[in-house]
Amino acid sequence: MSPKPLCIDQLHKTFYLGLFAPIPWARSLKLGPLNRVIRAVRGVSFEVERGEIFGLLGANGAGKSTTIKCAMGLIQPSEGEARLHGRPAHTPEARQGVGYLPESPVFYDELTPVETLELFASLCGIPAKRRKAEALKHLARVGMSGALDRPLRSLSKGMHQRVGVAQALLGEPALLILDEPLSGLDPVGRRELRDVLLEERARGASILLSSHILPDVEALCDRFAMIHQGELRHLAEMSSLATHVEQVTLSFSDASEALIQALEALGGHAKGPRARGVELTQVTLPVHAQREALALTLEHEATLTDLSADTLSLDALFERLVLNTDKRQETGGEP
Amino acid sequence: MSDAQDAQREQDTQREDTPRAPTFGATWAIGKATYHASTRSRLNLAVALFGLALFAFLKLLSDASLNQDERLLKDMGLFLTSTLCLIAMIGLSAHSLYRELERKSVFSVVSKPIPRATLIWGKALGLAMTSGLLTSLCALTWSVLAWRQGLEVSVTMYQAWYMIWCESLVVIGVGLLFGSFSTPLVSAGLTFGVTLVGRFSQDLIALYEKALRKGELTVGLDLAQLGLYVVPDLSLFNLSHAVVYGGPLPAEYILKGSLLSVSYTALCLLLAGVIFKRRDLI
Repeated sequence: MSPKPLCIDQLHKTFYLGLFAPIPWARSLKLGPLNRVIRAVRGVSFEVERGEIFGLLGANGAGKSTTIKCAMGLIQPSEGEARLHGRPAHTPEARQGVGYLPESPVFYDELTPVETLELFASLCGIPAKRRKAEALKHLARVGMSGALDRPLRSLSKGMHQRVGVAQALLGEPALLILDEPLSGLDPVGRRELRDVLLEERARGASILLSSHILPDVEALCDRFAMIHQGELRHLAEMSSLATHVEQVTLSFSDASEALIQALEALGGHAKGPRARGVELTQVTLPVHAQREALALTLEHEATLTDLSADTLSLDALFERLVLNTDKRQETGGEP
Repeated sequence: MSDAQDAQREQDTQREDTPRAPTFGATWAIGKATYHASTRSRLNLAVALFGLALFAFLKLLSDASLNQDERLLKDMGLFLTSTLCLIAMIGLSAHSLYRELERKSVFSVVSKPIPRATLIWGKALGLAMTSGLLTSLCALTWSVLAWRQGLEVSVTMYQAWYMIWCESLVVIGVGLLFGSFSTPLVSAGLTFGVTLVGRFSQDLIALYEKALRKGELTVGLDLAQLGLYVVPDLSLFNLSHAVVYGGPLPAEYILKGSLLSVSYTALCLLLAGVIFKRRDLI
């Protein structure tokens, strides 16, 4: 069986900052601001399967970029390991066939996009005679054909981002690791990039995508992981969100006050807007109370006009995860 | 054409098109990018132009001198070329890696399938090319001045320019070594210190030997002497005396200088590569 494109196993990364950081035995001394310890990643494990788009989500400072940098061998993990196609991530061989877009990419200001891509094509080992053609092809894919010969210092942040994506696509990598690829792009640019990523998946590439822009992640990813305060909090298939029903909403055209009160007793919340001149009452209930609610509807002989399941959105899940953790910390509980 | 030949040609094409593990190509590519970045930088261009403008001042000086114009032109010309090259290379080499780290442009480069040390070697190659260009420009400017004065450019002068370039290689190596673990200011200071000590290493050794004869040795002097063994003897690269008073130097001398320059630079770059490999690129 061929190895997974990316395997992160019990990854920990601790940064030691301050005066005594370079001395291993002195790092544990409690010297206030002179010795600071930041546990950026704590026991994160996940795998990216062949041909899938995997989303890595988390708030600012959650540990996403540190995880990605460990996966690219830019940072040595304190514990655990990252493997690319079965090889330790810090070896150059492991990075063969991997395209990487760092967060807010910066290149050599004095070079043009074509020269920049030719440089990276050379680093990818693409033969000299194919470099320019590859550079032009990928720059065209990301919509940069109009600014091929302008020095990078004269380009906008969004254009730098596009050049960054283009360099990651060089050599048709089997794995793409993209740190915040959609940030800095206008809506058209985001749509174009989404299309490029879907094309790459169709080609068979695996993609690890880190982003704050949850609707894009929801639209693109097959699976996702949520990281908060350096820990992996949730790992699931995106389709599981659609089947994850937490609440149901019942709509009545003639609900009696007694029925509403009975449903509220089951944990429901009622609201009654007028729609097309008809009194319409909607009651949202936890999904476990659905059976009893239907029985009550029959008992009160009310007309049920609609029954809809409220699925969990990625946004709601993300908010709940972050808020719950912060609340637990405020009350002194474990994070 | 037979089917076997067709198949062979197809195989060859496929092999050619398959991305290969980069070797010298990657170093050359980084070197070229560094060279372009250095030569297209407006700041560097301003420094180079200022340096070349100093040669005009040299012309005024030599005109004002009494029957010493040739000696002055040669001596000062070499001094200016050497100083300009060294200052430029100290600044560029000490700042080069830090700039990559600070701007985070390093992430895109070292995430490609290349050993991290390739970046160091590529930077050194690019800076060596920049130094070569700067030395050549200075030499050209000097030659124009000499031609206007009716002087011939001697073989020793070419040797001197070549040795200035060799010296700048050593400075690039030292600058990149310090730059691999410290800030630009610290690495520039350390590189300048090494260059200064290296240039006067023979005088310092003579002073030490004098102290040894007089029995004035202290622990501090011993340590200083130890330091002199580590610092390269840069006085070897200064051919001003030979240019002004002597004839061409033997090929062995130039070869010795080249070997010292290349081996010392390579050693610095190897060390820088080892240090840089262990760094977390945050």
